[in-house]
This record gives sequence, C-alpha cells and structure tokens, in this order.
Amino acid sequence: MSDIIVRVQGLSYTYMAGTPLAAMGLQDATLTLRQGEFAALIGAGGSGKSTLVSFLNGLLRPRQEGQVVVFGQDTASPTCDIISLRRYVGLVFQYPHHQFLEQHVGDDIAHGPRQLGLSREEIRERVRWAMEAVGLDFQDFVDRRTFSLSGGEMRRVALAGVLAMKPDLLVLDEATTGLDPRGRAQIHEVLHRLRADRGMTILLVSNDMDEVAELADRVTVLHEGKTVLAGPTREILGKETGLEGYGLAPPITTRVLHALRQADVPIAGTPLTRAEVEEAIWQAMRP
Amino acid sequence: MASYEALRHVTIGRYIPGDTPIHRLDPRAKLFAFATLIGLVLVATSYASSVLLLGLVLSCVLMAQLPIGYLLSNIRPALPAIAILSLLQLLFYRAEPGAPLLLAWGKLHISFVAVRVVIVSLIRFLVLTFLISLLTNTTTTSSLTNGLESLLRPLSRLGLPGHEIALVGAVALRFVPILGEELESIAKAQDARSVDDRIGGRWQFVHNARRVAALIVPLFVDAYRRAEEMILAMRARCYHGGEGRTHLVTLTFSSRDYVALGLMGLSIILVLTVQQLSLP
Repeated sequence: MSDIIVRVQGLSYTYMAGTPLAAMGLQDATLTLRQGEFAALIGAGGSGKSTLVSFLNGLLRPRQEGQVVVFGQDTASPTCDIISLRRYVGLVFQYPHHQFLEQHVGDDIAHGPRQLGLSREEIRERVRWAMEAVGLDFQDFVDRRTFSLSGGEMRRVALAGVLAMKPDLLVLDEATTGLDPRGRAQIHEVLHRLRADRGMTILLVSNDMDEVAELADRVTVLHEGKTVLAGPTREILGKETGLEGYGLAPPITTRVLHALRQADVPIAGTPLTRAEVEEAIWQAMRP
Repeated sequence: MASYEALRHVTIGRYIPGDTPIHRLDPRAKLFAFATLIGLVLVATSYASSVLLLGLVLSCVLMAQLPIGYLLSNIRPALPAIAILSLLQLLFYRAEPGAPLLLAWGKLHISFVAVRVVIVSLIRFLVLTFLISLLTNTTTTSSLTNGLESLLRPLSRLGLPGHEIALVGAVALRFVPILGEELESIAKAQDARSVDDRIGGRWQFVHNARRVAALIVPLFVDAYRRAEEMILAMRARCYHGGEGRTHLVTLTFSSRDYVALGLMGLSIILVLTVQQLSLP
C-alpha cells in the first residue's frame, strides 16, 4: 500500500552492545504509520518507546535485526539519505531545552528553515507561522531568551522549532508530560489544527491514556521492547481489561463506563472520548 | 553512523556487578592496595619491574572477571595523544652523554634509554587504567565512600572533613553516568534538528565549536538543577554532615582482607627487588 509512510518490522536493539553494561532496548518491535493518521505509541516506562522513535528519523539505524522503512527509504541502507529524512520527520522530545540550538526564541525557531537555504522573508514567515500555530505571540516572544522561558513556553518553542520545518510526520515523544492542564490543552489544540489544516501525520508517544483516547485513531502498545498490541484506539482503550499486564490502565472514560455498567446503567455502543461518553450517559439517563 | 552512547568507552567509575574475591574485599583493603600500587607504578622504571607490575595487576583483573577488551576500550580515544607523546619522548629524550645509541642519523639520536622510557611509560599508562577500572568496577559507590571515610577518620582530629571529602568524591562518581546519559539525550535532540548536509565536517572549526557550546549549555543547566534538587533532598532528610552519623553496614576486616594485604606486601617487596636487580 502506498499510503504507508512508516514500516518498522521485527526491530531489535541493544544499548551498549558488546560491553558488560549491555541492556535490551528493543526486541521485535513493529510499527506501521499511514499517511494522515493520528497514531499513538503507548507503554510503561522503560518499554522502549523513545528508542523506537529514535529510529524514525535515523538517529538510530538498525544494526542487527529488523527493518525500518520511512517514506520509502530503508534506513539501514548505507545509501539512505538521513539528512533529507530529517526534513520530513520532525521529532519533539520530552525535554524542550535539550533541543534548543540558539539563544533567542526567534533564532531557534528559524534554525531549521535557515538550513534549507530559504530567503529572509520566507524564514520570517515560517517563524511567524510556527509561533502562531503553537499560540506564541510573535512580537512578545521573538526576542526572548530560550532559557528564560517557563516550562510550558519552552515546550511550545521546541514544538514551533520543529514545525517551522513543515514536516510531513510529526513525532511527539512525551511532549506534554509534566505540563499543566491548560498547557496540555493548548498543545492538543495545535495538533488538531495541524492535522485538519495540513493533513500532517502525527505520532504521539504518551503515558497518558486519557490524552491518547481523546486524540489518537490508532494505538500501538510496547511492552519490554516488543510490540504486544496494535489496533484502533477504541478496540484497545475501550475495554476495561487487557492492558494491566503491560503496566498500563484504561482511560478514565472507559473506567467510568465500566462502573456505570456494573451498576446496571444501560450504555449503548463503545463510546471512548469525553464527548462521546457524555452523550452516551445522557442517552442512558433519559427516561 | 554517529553513536550517541557517550560513555560507551568510559569504563572508569561504573560498577559491574560480580561475586569474585576482588568484589568481596573490604573497600578499605582495596583503597589501600590501590594507593600502594599507584606508588609502585611511580617507582618501577625498569622493563622487568614494570612488566612484573603489569602482570600482577592483570592477574587481579582476571580474578575480578572483568573483560580485558572492555577495559582496553578506555584507551582508544586517547590513542592519538599517546602516540604523539611517545614520538616526542623518543625524539627529544636527553640521555646522558655516552649512553649507548640505538640509532644515530645526522642530528637524530635515539638512545636505548629513550626507548626504555617510552615503553615503560606505555606500560605505566596501561597499569594505571587497569588499576582505576579495577577499583571502581568492582566496588559500589557507597562502599567506596564508606571505605574512604573510614580511612580518613583519623585525620578528622586534625580538622580534615573526611566524611565530606568522601561524599564529594562519591557524588562526582555517581554523576558521571547520569551526565553521560543526559549528553546523549541532548545530542540526539539537537541532531534531530540538523538537516544541512553541507556542514559538520571535521575541519569546520567554527561550526563544531558552536555545536559543542550548544551541547554544554543545556548540560550545565541540568547539572545545576540536579545539584539543587539533591541539596533539597539531603536537607529534607536532615543531612547535617558526618558528625555522629552511623552506618547501616559496618565495615569489618575479614581474614580475606588480611590475606590480600599480605599478598600486597609481598608484591611490594617483589617489585622493589626486581627493580633494584634489573637497574644497571
């Protein structure tokens, strides 16, 4: 199928291979992403999520077992153009200040576009667009120093820096962890718009099942470096049981519905998002 | 392919779990033996004595079941510097006039003494690397700290803060792998944003210097933040220094440790004797 943009198969990876400190990172991980979808990668801490994500733009490349094909390029092949791959795959990491390369917000967001050899006007336009997309006021923030920002502002600048490259695939590695509810809602809003307006493919790596239930169409579950479940979000997160073996729990909506059903409230179908659940509860309560 | 495992070749300071006679030794015995062997390294200047010393240390490494190839990988990053130093030493070492020459070619004089100095220096370097790895790879940070503190205790009467010194050393050792992992994460996050294939060559000094600066700043920000968190955590647990502190694990010298110290004394005598006999 041509609409598959990422295909990871049977991927294994060992950290510090060949030393007494070798540690298993991935073991038989599989991941498929389709053009334009909003996918999520979930798993308990240490399950290999961040390691797997590092393969998507060639930060890590398969050495022993497994195959990683991104936008038709096999990243294990020596002829694979990793640099160009990084233009199409944008990675936003958990710690925003790790990815700052310049002192000032405007310069940092412009870092990517500048490398593309765009004109000054185009670069400025991209910075303006990226800042607007993440809800940062251009005039107010463009000359601030990156390290003087608050946590939530740093996240948004880091996201803007990646967005300014206009990637086709956006990967967020726990990019909302530790944000307050408002900051989180703002990032969600940004992701919604990017997908609706630009058809961007998004992979959300998260520990927050409520967030995943709300946003993602499809979920892949990693456990100890291995892909153990993959399918539509509703199938995987809509059930009360099945995740606890992997150190995860279903989202609050599923748990509420389960409790209601236990109390003999007739809930129809498998609602998952908050809006759906609210509607289902109204329906069930109506006399 | 770039490797992000910053500490892949740093074996010093990482505890490798094991259950060997070396692992089980009392940390004080190990520290004492470590200091003595370092002293011997400085004394042994002849071929015979330095090779003997290398042999002794190697047998300890084997006894501790540490992979020798892994310890040697420590040296790999330093190889160019070692090569240049050895060459300079070979060319410019001033032997006494009349010393037998290996090579005389125009103004170039290489004496046998110079060759010996170079080879013995290389052996010394190996011995030192093995020794440091031997100590830190077989001893946990906490027992190393306890041992050091216990050894420094007599000096506290002179006003030397033994506990604090040991703690500073332990914290520094403990932070090495943490900062290494952090550096890895920063390098990855920044590389993910670098998409220009025209830059990044070995000779682009300005670009490379800027890259180092971009790596260092977040690393320091994190290190300071960690230090502050640690201070807070220590205060929250009412840490007040070494005064009146007791230990969960009290160090006791067992017969094994006395045997080890005895062997240590034997090897001192052995190395010194060989050194005396082998010098012209």
